[in-house]
Amino acid sequence: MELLALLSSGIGQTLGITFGALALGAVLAVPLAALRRSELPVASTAAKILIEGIRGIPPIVWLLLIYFALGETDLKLTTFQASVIGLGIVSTAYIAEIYRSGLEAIPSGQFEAADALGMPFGAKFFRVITPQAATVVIPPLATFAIGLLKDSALASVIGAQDITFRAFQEAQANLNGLTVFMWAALLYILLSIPIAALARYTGSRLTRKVAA
Amino acid sequence: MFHSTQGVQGPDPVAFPSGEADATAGGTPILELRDIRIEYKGHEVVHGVSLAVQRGEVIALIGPSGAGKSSLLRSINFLEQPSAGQILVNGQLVQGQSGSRGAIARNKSLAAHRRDVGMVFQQFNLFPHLTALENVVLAQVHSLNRSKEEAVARARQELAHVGLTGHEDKYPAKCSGGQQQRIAIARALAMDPQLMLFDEPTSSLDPELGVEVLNTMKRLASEGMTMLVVTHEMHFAEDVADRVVFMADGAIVEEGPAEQVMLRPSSERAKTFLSAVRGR
Amino acid sequence: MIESILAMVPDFLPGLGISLLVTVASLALGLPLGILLALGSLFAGKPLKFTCIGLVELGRGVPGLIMLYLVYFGLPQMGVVMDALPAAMIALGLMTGAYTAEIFVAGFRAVPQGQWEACGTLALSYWKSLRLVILPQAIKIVVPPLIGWTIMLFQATSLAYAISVPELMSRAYNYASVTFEYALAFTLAGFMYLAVTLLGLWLFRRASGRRRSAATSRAAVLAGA
Repeated sequence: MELLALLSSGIGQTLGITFGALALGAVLAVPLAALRRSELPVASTAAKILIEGIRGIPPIVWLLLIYFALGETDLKLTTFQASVIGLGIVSTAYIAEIYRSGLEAIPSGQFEAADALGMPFGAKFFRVITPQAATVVIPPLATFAIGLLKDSALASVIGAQDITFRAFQEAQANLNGLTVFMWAALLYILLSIPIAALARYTGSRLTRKVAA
Repeated sequence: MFHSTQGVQGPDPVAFPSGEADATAGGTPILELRDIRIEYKGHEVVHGVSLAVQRGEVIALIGPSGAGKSSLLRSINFLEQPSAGQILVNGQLVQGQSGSRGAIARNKSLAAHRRDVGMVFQQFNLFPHLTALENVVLAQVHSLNRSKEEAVARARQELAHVGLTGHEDKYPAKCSGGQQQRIAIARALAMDPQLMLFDEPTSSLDPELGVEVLNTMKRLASEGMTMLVVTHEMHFAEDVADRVVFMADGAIVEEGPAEQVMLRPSSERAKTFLSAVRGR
Repeated sequence: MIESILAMVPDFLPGLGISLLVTVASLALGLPLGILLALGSLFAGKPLKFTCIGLVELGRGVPGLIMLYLVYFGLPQMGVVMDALPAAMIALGLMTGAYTAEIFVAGFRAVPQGQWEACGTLALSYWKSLRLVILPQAIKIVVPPLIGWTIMLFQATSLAYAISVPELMSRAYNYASVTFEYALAFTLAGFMYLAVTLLGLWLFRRASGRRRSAATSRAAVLAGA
C-alpha cells in the first residue's frame, strides 16, 4: 500500500503530460490537417513531409532533442514542459492524420449540399461537417490517447517525475523491480480504462445524434 | 451404429413414375432424412422434415425465402447441426456430432459422409489462393489420398466435363461468376460423390451466366447424378427435376412429380407462391 | 558542421546495427508467440482461450518502457539476471507477441466462413483445412500489418537506450555528452531512424499491392489494419 501510494504520487505528472501533449497536438493539428488538405500542391506536400518526418522519428528522440538541445540555448525548460512539447509535436502529426481521415470520411455531397444551401463557411464547418467528422474522429483519437498515456512513460527518461520515474527510483533503491513495475503496469492499465470508456460513451452519443 | 431400414419413411417413393428413379424405386433410398429439426438462435426454423431421395433422382426444393430450404440442405452434411432427427445414407445412420468445428471435422464417420455428398454453394466458396486446377486437386489429394498425378488427371477431366478446358491455370478472381460456379461443381464431382447438393447455385449470378451453370446441371442430371437442388429457377424445377418439394415455414407443404406440383399444385400455399413467381 | 556529422556517422552506424539486431531478434521471439496466442484466443477451450486473450490485452496495455524495466530490473528479483541486450530483445519480443497476436486474430477472422464450410464439405481434416486453405489466405492478409508492426518495433528499440543497450540512441547520447553537440547528434540519429522507417513504409506499400499514399498506408499501420 505504501508502494501504491508512492507510485500514485506520479499520476499527476503522467496525466498532466498526457493531456498536455494531447491538447497541444489537438490544436496544432488543425492547421496542419488543413494544410494537408490544401489544394495547393506545395502546401499539401510540405504538410505530408512534415507529418511523415515527425512520425518517422521515435518519440524518445523528440524528448531528448527538445530537452537537451533546447537546453543548450537560453531557453531553459523543465522536464515537464519538455515532455509536453516533445510528445505534443509527435501528437500533432498523428492527430493531423486522424483529422484528415475524419474529413475524408464525409461524402463530398455534404459539402456540396451545404454550398447549395448557401451556408456561410462557419455554419457549413461547425453545423454540418464537424458533427459528422467527430463521430469518425473520436474512436481513433481515443486509441491514440491511450497510446500517448503509455508513451508518456518515456518522460521519465529525461527525469519527469511520473509513475515510471517513481517506480524506477523505488526499484533502484530496494531492488524489488518485479513488484514495483507490476504495480506500475497495473496503474497504467487502470488509467487507460476511463479513457476507453469515455470514448465509447461520447462516440455512441455522437453517433446517435448524427444518425437521428 | 449401423441400422438398416425397413422400407422407406415419409413419402412413398413408388408413388412417382420417373424415368431414372424407378429403377431403384422401392429399394433403400440413397439419402433419407427422418424428422429433421433445426434451431437457429433459439427458434426452430425446420419443424421435423422427412424426405427420401432415390438413386438417380433429381429433386428441386422450392418455396419462399425463410422456408428453411437452405437450412435443411445444409443440415444434410452437417454444416448446420440438426437439433433432432436422423440422416441415413444407403440405410446407414450418419453420426453427426454437436460441438466445435474441430470436433465435427475430426469425426471419422462424418468425414466419410461428407466425401459421399458433394456440395455447391451460392457463393461458390472457391479457394481464392489456388488456381482452378488446384481447387479441384486439393481435396482429392488431402481427403481421398489420391496421388498427385491421378488427381491432376481427374481434375482436368472434370474441368473439361463442365466446359472449362483452357481455364485450368486461372485464379478464381480472374473467372466470371458462371465459370467460378462450374469450377466449384467440378471440385465437388472430382470427389466421386453419390449425391450432389446445390444451395441456390445460380442466385448470385447474372441470368446469362446462370444459364451456363444450369446447362451443366442439366447434363449431370441426364447422366444419372442424384441431385438435391434448392432453387428459385422455376424452369429448372419444371424441366429437369423428377420431383419437386415445396417448403414453407419450415415444413414440407407439398411434394410430388415435377409436372404435378409445378402445374397443378393442390395446396393454397403452393398455388399462391407459384402464381407469384410466375407473375413476374 | 559537416565535419561533425562525418565524425558521428561511423560512431552511430554500429548502433543502428544493434537497433536492427534487436528488431530482428524481437520478431524471431515474438512472431511464434503471437501465432500461438492468436490460435489460443481463437480456437482453444474456455480457460486457455481467456488466458490468451488476457495476456494479449495485458501485453498491449503496458507501456513499452515498463515492459523493458520488468524484464531487466524485475526478473533479478526472481533470481534471473541478464544483460541489457537480451533483456531488451525479450521485452520487445513479448510486446511483439501481444501486438501481432491481435493482427493474426484479425487475419484469421478475415477469411470468410464459407472457406471453412467448403473444406468441411470436401471432408478435409481440421488441420489440413487450417494449413492448406485458411492459413495461406490469412498470411496474405496479415503481411502488410506485420510490416507495419515491424516499423513500430524498430522505432521502439530506441527504448533500450533507457537500460543502456548500445543502440543508436545510446550512441548518440554518449557522443553528445562528450562533445555537447546534442542538437546535431539527436537530429542525425532522428534522420537515421527516419531513413529506415521510410524504407519500411516503401516495403509496406509494395506488400499491400494497391497504390496508397504514404499517409494512408501509415494510417492503416497505426490502425493495425
